[in-house]
Amino acid sequence: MANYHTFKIKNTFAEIELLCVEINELAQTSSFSEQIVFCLNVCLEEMLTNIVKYAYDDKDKHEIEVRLEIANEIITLTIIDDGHEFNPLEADIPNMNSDIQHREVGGIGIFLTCKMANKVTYTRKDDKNVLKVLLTPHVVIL
Amino acid sequence: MKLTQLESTYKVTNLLLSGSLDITGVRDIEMDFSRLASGEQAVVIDFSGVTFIASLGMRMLLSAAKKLDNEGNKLVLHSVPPLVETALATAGLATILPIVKDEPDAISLLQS
Repeated sequence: MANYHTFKIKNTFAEIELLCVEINELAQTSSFSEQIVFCLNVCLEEMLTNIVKYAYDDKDKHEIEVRLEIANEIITLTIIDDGHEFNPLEADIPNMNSDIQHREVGGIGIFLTCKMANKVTYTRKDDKNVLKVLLTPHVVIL
Repeated sequence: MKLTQLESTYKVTNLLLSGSLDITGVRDIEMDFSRLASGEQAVVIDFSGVTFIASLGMRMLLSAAKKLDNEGNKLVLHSVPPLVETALATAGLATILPIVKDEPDAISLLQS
């Protein structure tokens, strides 16, 4: 049987931090492996940070919806924001070969999320960005 | 997140990090870390207590490593837990931030 959890936060770093604590508490009560929880945290932090930093063209308050569906040890994380259209799957892949002085961390967050999740999909629906991240016990990176 | 400066018999800044290098963790320590890893001497960090890292934490490390590199110094991590090491390797940082087994290996690397 699937468990559904829906969270709504404002577009601030403080709210991301509180949400991550809440979701971690939820994960602790489930029997997830350390690695799936680690990957869930990376995806949450990277995607929400990107939205707060770059999604909005104004300084208004916005609501970000985070849905967590847990079924048969599979986690589906859905993040919905009303920022401008942005498909993270089309973002440039950072250059991993440059030397230390030319290395940039920009873009790493999206890259890490895509590597750590089993599947990431993006759709634009009703003027909102809908990002879906699938995490299974067989995390790709390990 | 906790940042501790340890004593060292070598001319290195010896640090111990413990906790989660998430948004909150980075905010807690980034000013102190930046001051301690400002470039004058090599920095060795015991990562054994670090439970999480994502791009914000990586940005903090990379920024310090660049400053150190400008002065001809290095930032070396040791005792890195497997999941944290995997995240660093996935982000391509393992090639520019040396990761070694333990403190003696870190010192050997800096003396070589």
